[in-house]
This record gives sequence, structure tokens and C-alpha cells, in this order.
Amino acid sequence: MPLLRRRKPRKKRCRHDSKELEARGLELRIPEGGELVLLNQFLILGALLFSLGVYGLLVRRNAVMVLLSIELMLNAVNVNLVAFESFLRNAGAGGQIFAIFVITVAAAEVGIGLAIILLIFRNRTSANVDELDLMKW
Amino acid sequence: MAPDIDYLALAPEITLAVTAVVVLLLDLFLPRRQKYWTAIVAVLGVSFAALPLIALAVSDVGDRAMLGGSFVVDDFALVLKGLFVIAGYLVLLMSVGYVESDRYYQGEYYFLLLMSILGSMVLASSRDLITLFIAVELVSQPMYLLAGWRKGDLRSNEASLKYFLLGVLASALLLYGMSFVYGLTGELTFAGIAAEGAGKAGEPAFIMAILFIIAGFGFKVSAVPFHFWAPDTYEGAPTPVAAYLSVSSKAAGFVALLVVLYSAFPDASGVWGPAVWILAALSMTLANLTALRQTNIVRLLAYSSVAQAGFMLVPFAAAATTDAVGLGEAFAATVTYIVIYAFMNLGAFAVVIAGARKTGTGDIEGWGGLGSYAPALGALAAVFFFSLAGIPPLAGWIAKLVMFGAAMGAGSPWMIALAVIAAINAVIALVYYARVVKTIWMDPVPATAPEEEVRTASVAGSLGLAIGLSAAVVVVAGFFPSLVTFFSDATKVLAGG
Amino acid sequence: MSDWFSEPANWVFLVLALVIAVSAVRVVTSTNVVHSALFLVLALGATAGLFLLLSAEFVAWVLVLVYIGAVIVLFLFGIMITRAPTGPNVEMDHRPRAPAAMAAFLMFIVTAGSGLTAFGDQEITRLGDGTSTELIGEQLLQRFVIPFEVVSFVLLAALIGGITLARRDASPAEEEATEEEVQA
Repeated sequence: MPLLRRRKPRKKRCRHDSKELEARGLELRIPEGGELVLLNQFLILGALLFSLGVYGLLVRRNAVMVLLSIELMLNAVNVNLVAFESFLRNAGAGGQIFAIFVITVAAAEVGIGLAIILLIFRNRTSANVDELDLMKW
Repeated sequence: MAPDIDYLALAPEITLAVTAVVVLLLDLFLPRRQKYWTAIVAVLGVSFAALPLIALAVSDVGDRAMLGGSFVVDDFALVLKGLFVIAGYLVLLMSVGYVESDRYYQGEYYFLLLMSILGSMVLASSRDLITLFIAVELVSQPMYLLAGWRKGDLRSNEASLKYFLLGVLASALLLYGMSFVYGLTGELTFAGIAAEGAGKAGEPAFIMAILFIIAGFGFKVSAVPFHFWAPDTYEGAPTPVAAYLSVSSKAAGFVALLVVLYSAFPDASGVWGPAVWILAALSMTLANLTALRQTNIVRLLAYSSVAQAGFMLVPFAAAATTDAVGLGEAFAATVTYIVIYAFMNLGAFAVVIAGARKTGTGDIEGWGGLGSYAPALGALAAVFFFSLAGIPPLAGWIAKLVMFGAAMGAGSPWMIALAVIAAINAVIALVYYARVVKTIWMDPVPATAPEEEVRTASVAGSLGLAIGLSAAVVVVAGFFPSLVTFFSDATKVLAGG
Repeated sequence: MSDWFSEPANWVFLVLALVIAVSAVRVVTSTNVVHSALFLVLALGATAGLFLLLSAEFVAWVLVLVYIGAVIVLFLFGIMITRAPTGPNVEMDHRPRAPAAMAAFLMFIVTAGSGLTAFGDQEITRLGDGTSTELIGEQLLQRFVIPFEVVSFVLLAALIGGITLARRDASPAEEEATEEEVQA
């Protein structure tokens, strides 16, 4: 956290710089900070989260656990989107807005999922996916 | 600064949204016995939503794009919105008697159905990744819930959970693909992606992203190998919901796929063409072979709808191998197929609802002799099932003809191979469709059939109307194919044809 | 590589990534549902930290508020109400793990590999120059106003439908079932 707090003034200065540079028609490039932060370190983390989600999805019995795994996958998408957004930094802010939408939709999905799980539990006192065998998969 | 919004272009969506909220409020204040008013308001609202569509169609303003090209009302969007409105209208009619006959939550049922229709309307106009994704979610999420609407029935519960889990997985795949498309091109609108992505078709990351997006929508259109949920969900869900899933929800998936592939990745058709080829061949073959073994009528229709999705994908695969004109033809062929399929499949489901009420069972065997005690219903069943099989002069024949035309027009050996696969499958499909008709007309009435009063009871008026309307379209479009192709030709704007 | 370590932001990244990775592994391997949910909190919290590092403050706090504040609480409620086995339970996994692990590994190769080939060692050069929340707000209510309105309907539908589906019916069969449950 202290490190993150320290960033604040630096950020302001950067914005100032970029405005000046823009005024002079120069390329936007912030000289200090983040020089060696690779885009791929975030993408690989995203890939890892996504793959762990896939693993959990395949292996878990309990529907709540399956849902938790899917949340990991959606979080991987958020990591990708925000990393891409800082990489691109085009004026649209599209990546962050996309991430906000993904978070919102994921919240709705969790609500629906838990309602369905609750319903099933009430009818058969179990929330295990592999006991759903009335109809063959 | 207020955003620049063209309210006439948004009028159909606004009408539906207002109707949905009114239905919800009515449900709150109406006493239990008068809940049927929610159905009436819902049907009226959907009818009113068609009025601005007509106004937009006849206006000579041309394409209406707003919000930086994120939301476009062009001929393609209008035709498909029209389809979604009509299909939604028919499903509402089918639902009326069905939902009243059981202890359902009627107001909420219609509210969720209207929400899903609203989602498909927005989907037809969305031209950026975020709008498309949100619209797809609004189509699917109410359906996860409605699939489980028969709360006390374990099959319905199971239908709901399976559909939900696989649907959410599909969304996750879709989003992962979309995030890479955004990262690689830096754009969210399809026009921007097409411009930026022009030279990137060969990049592994771009290919991965496109394949993930196809897989995500593959779940929505229930193409093999992403179809596991379809038979179980259709069987367990309330039948009107299954009809909606097999028509509107599937059409929505196709619209999303068409829009993304044609307008965002036109230069990457070498990537998605083969992928779609595989999906089409697998869907047709596996689903048809499985359908042969089905004994439950709804499961049969479920596998048949998976197979039909395969037929709809055939022109897609053709698009990858042809020039711009062929691209437009293939595009129009898919839209033609979707429109005709919507009516014949809705009709088939409506007949199944009526037939299940009369015979008291969903087993095909129990339907023996239906033609003898309900001749009109039996005849209409024959119309819809033969149309699905593609027998002339019914409309399904036109759909097949256009589809084969697009495949053969492409001319490449791969497409001819796919056309041969489709032809073999059309014959296999004829076997199981004809078997149902044979059971209805040739087999004796089984001993387990319900009593005379039940069998000869008249079909609910709204359901009869739904069957009649679909039958009229299926028959008339069969004789006058230009009625359908007029609309599907208009949709070529999206493919640039 | 030594250059990479000379950048302080990378040390922060390393710590956060480690936390995220370890807790994500625990989410999918823990034999206790409650632990799984709590590890997800940790993973999401560290992800929010990552977003702060990328100076995406608004998304970071949305993640904390929506996920940790609401979604996880919902999860915990779900776990409590369905009385999913909260103690250690060895039978949490149902299918053989090896093929699933293989599938996940393949997925990792594909997803990570495509990132590596596409972006190589390209850098995020403007780490500190974040998109302002003001811009996000403006964009959300202008260019993205339609999805913004539509997503409110998604939430409304989920809310109404979820309540309807999850609430207990007053139907006779249901009442009998609950009576039996009480007696048992």
C-alpha cells in the first residue's frame, strides 16, 4: 500500500507532462515508471486463472464450487481487459468499462446460480452436480 | 452533454422495456384470479413494439447509427428484430394456456420472457463487443431462470442448472476471446476491429480469440460439440420455454455469430470458415443419428433443432471460400434458413403442447392414433414435421434449397463434401420426422391413452392461433418463397453484398 | 531480467501474482467449500491490488465492493443455506483429476502461448497515467449508455427471477414436504 500511495503525485505530474507533449505534437511517452512492466506478465496470470477455472469446472462436484471456478475464469477476463487497457491507453477507456460490465454481469449470474442451486437443494437436499442424473447428460 | 440518441430507432426496445415493467407492476396489484391480464398486456406490448419497426422500415432515412457506431438500425437489424418480435409473440400465445394451467408465477414469467425478447432486439442492432455481450446475457439470463420455472419438478430444476452452468461457461469463453480481440486491435466497435484486424488474421492469438468466440456462441446455438445442455434443458423446461430456446434464443446466437464474423472478422474467414465447417458437419451428423433413437417427442425436437443448427451453419462455412458476392449469398441463405426454421419449429412445438395435452404424454408411442381423434392437429403436425424435413412445397424446402445453393455455389471441393454430408443428413432426418407422422396417422390408439373427453377437448384459443399463424407462414412461404427471400436479401447490407 | 527486477512495480506485481496464483489453486483444490470461497476473496482482493498497480482505481474499487462486498457474501449465504458440507470433505471432486489437469494445462498453453506470441516483450509504458474515473463515467453514460441501461435490465431480471425461483412456494405439495422435513 505505501508504494501505491506514493504513486499518486507522480501520476499527476505525468498527466501534466503528457498534456504538454501533446500540445507540442510529440509522441506520448511517460519517461519514468512502468518502463519494464511487461504486458505479458498480466496475460500469463490471466491465462493461469482461466486454466485453473477450467480445472475446477471439470473436477468439482458441488454446484457452488463449480460456480466459484467460473468466477475465477471471469476474473481472468478482467485481468486481461484492464491490462490491455493500460497497454493501449487509447482515449476510449473501453477496457475498464468492459471490465465493469463483466463484474456486473457476473454478479447477476451468481444471483441466478445460487437461486437455482437453492431450488434444487430444496427439492433433493443435495447440491452435487453428478447427482443430476434424471436425464442422462 | 447528453448522448446523441435517436429515439425512433430505439422505440421498439423502449416499448418492450416499458411493457415488461408494466407487466411486473400489474402482477403486483392484480388479485390471483385476474393474473391473466399480465399475459394480455405482454401480448399487446409485443404487438406495439412491431409498429415502430414498420415505421423504421418505411422511413427513407437509411441506416441509423448512433453512439459511435455501437448501435445501428439497418435493414439487417430490422428484419431480425421483426423475426424476434413475431417469434416472441407466438411464444407468448403458446404460453398463455400453458402457464395458467399450472401453479406458475405468471407475471414474472411474462416479465422474464419480455426481457429476453428485449435482449434479442438489442442484439440485432449491437455493433460493438460490450453491447453485444450485454445483449447476449439479457437473452440468456432470463432463460436460465425460466428453464427451472416448473419449480416442483426435478427435471425442470436439472434443466435449469445444466443450462445455467454451461451457459455461464460459454460466456466465460466468449469473454476471454473478446478480451484478446480488444487487446490485439485496441477497438471495441466491429468496424474498428475489422479495420485494425485486417492484417492480423494469421496471428495465433487472433485465431485463438476467434475460436473462443465461436465456441462461446456455439453453446448458444447448441451446435455439436457444445450441445449437451439442449436435449435435457428442452425436456425439463416448460415446453413454451423450450420452444423459445430452440427458436429465439438460437436465432439470437446465430445473429451474434453472423454479426461478429461478418462485420468484425471479414478478413479472417480463412480461420472461421473451417471451424464452422467442422461444427456444421458434426452438428448435422451426430444430432441426426441420436435423434433416430429418441422416444420422447421433445427430446426428438431438441436433437432435430441441433441438426437444424448444423444446416444453418453450412452457408457460413461456404462464405469462407467465396468472393464478396458469394459472401452476401451465403449470408442471405443463413438468414432465410433462420426465418423459415423459426416458424416451422415454433409450429412443431405448439403442436407438441397441444398434443401432449390431448394424449397426456410426451412419449411418441403414446401419440398413436392422434390423427383419428384430432384430425386437424394431426394434419398440422404433418405440415410442420414434413416442413422440418424439407419436403416440397412446404417452406422448409426453400430453406434447404437456398442452403444447398450457397454450398454448391462456393464450388470448392470442401463445400461440395459438406453439401453431400448435408444431403445424407436430410435423408436421415426424414426418417425420424416421418416416423412421428406415421405414429400419429397409422398407429392404433394405445391402451394408455386418456379418456374421450380429454382427447377431444378443444385446444386453447391462443395456442390454436399460434399454430394457425405458423402453419399459414410455412405453407404460404413454401409457394411464394420471394416473401422470405425479399427480407433475407435486405439483410445482405451487413455482408457488404 | 535484472532490469525487470529493478522496477519496483514488478516486485509489487510478483507478490500480488503469487497471492492470486496460490489462492486460485486453493479455490479449486480445497476440500472445504467455505475455504474455497474465502480463498476466492483473497484472489479477488489481490486482483484489485493489481488493478491499482495498473492505475485502474475505479475498476479496483468496483471489484472490491461488488465482489468482496456482495457476491462473496451471497456465496457464503448459499453455502450456509444449502448446508453444503462445510467441514473437510474428501469427496469434493468427482471426476478423475488427471484428465482435467491435462485439459487445464492445455488451456494454459493455448491461452498463455497466444499472449506470448502476440505481445512478446512489449511493455506497459504508461503505467502511472491512468484513465480518470471522470472519463469512465462520461463514457459509461454516453458511448456506452445502451449497454449501461440494458445491464440494469439484466440485474432486474436476475433479481425478480431469482427471488421467484428461490422463494418457498405455498403449494400443498411443498408444504407437506417441509412438514416432513421439520418432523425429520
